[in-house]
Formats: sequence, C-alpha cells, structure tokens
Amino acid sequence: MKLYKTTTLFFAILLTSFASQIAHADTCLPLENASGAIKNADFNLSYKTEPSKISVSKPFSLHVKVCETGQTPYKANLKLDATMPKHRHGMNFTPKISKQSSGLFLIEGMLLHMPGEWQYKFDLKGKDRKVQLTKDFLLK
Amino acid sequence: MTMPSTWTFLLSLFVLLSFSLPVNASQFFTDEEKSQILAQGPWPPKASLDHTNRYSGNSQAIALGESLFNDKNLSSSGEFSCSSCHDKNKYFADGLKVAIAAGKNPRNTPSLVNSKFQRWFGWGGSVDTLWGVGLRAILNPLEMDSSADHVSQYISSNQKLTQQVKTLLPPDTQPTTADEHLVIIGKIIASFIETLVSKETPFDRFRQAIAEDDKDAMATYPLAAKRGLKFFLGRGRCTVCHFGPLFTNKEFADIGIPYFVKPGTVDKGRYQGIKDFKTSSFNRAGPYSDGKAGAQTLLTGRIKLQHRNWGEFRVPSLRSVADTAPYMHNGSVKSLTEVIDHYSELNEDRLHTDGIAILRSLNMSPTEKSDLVAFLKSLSAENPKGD
Repeated sequence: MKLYKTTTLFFAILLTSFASQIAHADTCLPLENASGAIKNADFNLSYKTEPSKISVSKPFSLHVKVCETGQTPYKANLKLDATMPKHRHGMNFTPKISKQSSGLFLIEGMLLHMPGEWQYKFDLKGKDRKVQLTKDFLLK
Repeated sequence: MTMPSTWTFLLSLFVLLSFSLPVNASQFFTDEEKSQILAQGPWPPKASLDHTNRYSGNSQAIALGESLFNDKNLSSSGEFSCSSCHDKNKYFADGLKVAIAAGKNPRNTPSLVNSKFQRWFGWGGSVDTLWGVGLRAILNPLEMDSSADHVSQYISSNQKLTQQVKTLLPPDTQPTTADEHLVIIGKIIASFIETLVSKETPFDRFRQAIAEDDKDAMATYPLAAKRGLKFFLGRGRCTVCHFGPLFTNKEFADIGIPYFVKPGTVDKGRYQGIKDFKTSSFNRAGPYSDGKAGAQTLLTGRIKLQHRNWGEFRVPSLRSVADTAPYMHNGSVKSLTEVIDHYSELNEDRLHTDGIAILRSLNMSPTEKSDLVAFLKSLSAENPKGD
C-alpha cells in the first residue's frame, strides 16, 4: 500500500512537472526590453531593434515576438513594411523575414532613408481575416 | 535733427548693430537644431575595409592602384585613363557639363572623393561596389571603351606590371580568365580610390565646438554660414535627403531636373540603375566578390524596383560641393547660386508625388540665398590637399 502511494505520488509530481513544462513552453511572453509593443484584441506584438538605436539610412534588424490571445505563440506568417504615411512612400528595400521559433521572427535588411514620421505595418493572419498592426514613430 | 530723422538714425543703428555684433551660437541655435548639427558628423566617419575587395587597405595595392588609375593603356585607344575624367586637380571630377572620353556621356562626372562611404555608385546606382563601378567605366564604350581581353593582354605583355600584380595574389595562383584579370585590376584601382577622403572643414570644427560647448570656437564660424546652416536645417528642410556626415542619405531622389537626353531619349535614372544592378556580375553578392556576407550585401541584394524610381538620381554628397561644379546628373546647373535658384523657384508640377510633397518651392530672399551659399562653402576644406 505504501509502495502504491509513493509510486502514485511520484507519477503525480512527474506529470505536474511535465504539464507545467509544456505550459511554460507554450506560454508566449513579450520580448524583454522591447523597443515597442502593439496590442489589439487578438494579438500582442513586441519588437526590439538591433542596434537598439536606429539611425537614418543605416541598416538594422528587428526581432519580433507575436503572441495570440491566451498567450499562445503566433504560428502563421508575418509581413512587415515601414512607410512614411505623409509622403506615401515606403522603404527602398524588401526586408528578409525568417521565422526563428514559436512566435519569434527575425527581420533583416531594414533601412529608413529619411528622417521624419515613419510607421511600421505588421501584417498577420487572424482567425478569419487579415490583421494589420501599425506603430507610428519619429526618426531623427 | 528732426524727430523722424532721429528715429530713422536709431533704427539704422539698431539694424547695423544686429548684423555686426557677435552672435552667441549657443543661443542662435535651438537644442533641436544643435542635435541636428551633431547628426551631420563627426568627420570622417568610421569605415571598415571593403571585405568584397581583398586588396582593400593593402598599401602595395594602393600604390599600384594609383599608377593604374593614371594608365591610359587600359583604354582601347590608349588615350584615356581613369584620371582623364577624374582629375586630381579638379577634386577628382572633370569640371565639364558631361563626361567626354571615348564618346560623349549624357551624365556629369561625379567626384571620387569620399566615394568609399557610399552604398551605391553612379548617378543611377547600377553597382554596389567601388571596384565594380571602376570596371563599368573601363568597359563603357563612352568612357574607356575597353574589354577584359584588352586589359588582360596589356597586363600580361608588361613584365613589370605582371610581377607587381602577381605579388598581390595568393601564392601559386594566377587569373585563369581575362574576366578574372580585369576584376583584379578593378579591385587594385579601387583600393587607391578608397584613400581619397576629404579633409576637415570649417563646418566640422563648428560642429565639434557645439559638441564640446566651446563658445570661443563657435564664434569663429562666420555669421552668414550660421544663418545658412539654420536655413538648411529649418525652412529649407535640406537634411531630409542631405543627412549625416556625408550630407547625403546615400539614396535617390527626383528633384525636377529634366531627364530627356535628347528628343525621344530618356535617362531613366534609378529605374534603369536597379535593372542593371540586378544583372551585374560586379556586385557584393556576385561571383567576383571576395566576401558576400554582411548586412550591406543583404540590404543591396533586396532593393525594390518601383515606378517612382523613374527620374530619380543619386542624392550627391554636399562635402566640398563648392569644388565640384557643374551640378546635377546632367551637369545642367552651372553654379551653386543656380542650384539654390532651382530649389527656390522649383516647379512642383514636375515632381512625382502621391502625398505631401517632400520638395516645395522655397521662395528665398537674396540674403537667404547668399547665406546658404556661405554655409555650403563651409563644407569645403580650406586646404583640400592638406599640405
């Protein structure tokens, strides 16, 4: 009886630990020290630039983390463009987007060639429609 | 003295004093303007070696490159060298409206000084390597009108040159094709061009004075240049394109200069440049590049061809701009004053824009124009050769 209880307890602990690890692996948290974040009802997107301070006409990369509601990592594709809405033009380059791990993307080949008001446009695939998340910022 | 004449006298005195008193630059520029001024330096910017060119920074290659730069035997006729159009006594340009060598080129010869800091080369940006743009000039029928075979045969027939090139190659290797030989020569010449960097200017010293809050040093920068700089940053909004230490964002713009070469012939500018770039072998990512990795290669390889690229030409650096007349891609503007007149009385109907216009007619006063010229002249070193 004692052996049965000990074994049950052992398996219970093992199962709890395993379940907690699965839950932890699936838990989607925003990037630490993010440069910016955008939230809506369906998504929580955070991004971090590399280098941390971006400059006019110098190449940079973006690390992007996308979580869906309920803190599950976003698994579909991501697109990004940066535009100057007032001038109605975007970048001169098409950035390279690579999926790194669950919900995490690396975007290389970004370059903003003018100082002024810019906007990131992230295109995501929602449950039944396309979703665009935008973030305005001033580049000096 | 009657009352009105007293007032007139006092007013004149006030106006006179306000122009002649020393202006405290610390107060003349706002914090925002000072921050903009700091972004236009320091000079020269840090630059690493060109890893697409194995001879970059190699002193032996630089010496040989200078000799080849002046060697007319590289051209098919034996009449033209790189220095025929890039004259060291003319700031490595030619001072002509358009380049004239083996033929008449529809474009103005840009200076080679500071070209190592650029991202794209040529008015349309058809190449992303310095060695590639040199090779393009060697092969262009309107420039040196040469060929890989001609260059290879010339080098091979000259024992001294063959030996000099051989000492730069990795041990026990030699070019196996004429194209390889040509590319080696282009890279050796580029290693010399990389050394052409302009000297410190009055503007750079003023910028440094602002960085150090050195009021005495700030006071030595002429008042007209200060006013011109204020206009450049403010109402002129010139830093939208002429941004950073090189005074260019290293990209392309349409500023309303006609791009008809002659009736029925159009210079497509950046549009054709991107098309040519995508098919060129002399790119950072191409077969002759010595190092294809890196952010710069990834970036240029992902250039977008867009309709708006029609009629766009490279935003030139303004460093030493006073020394490189005439101006624009077709050399159609003779002087700095005329360049400023162009922006002052800009025909906005000529510009392609979907949104708020980046360029607007500036309607400048004569004083604003002369101040801007004074500022632009302060972007030249007093003694460019530094000797």
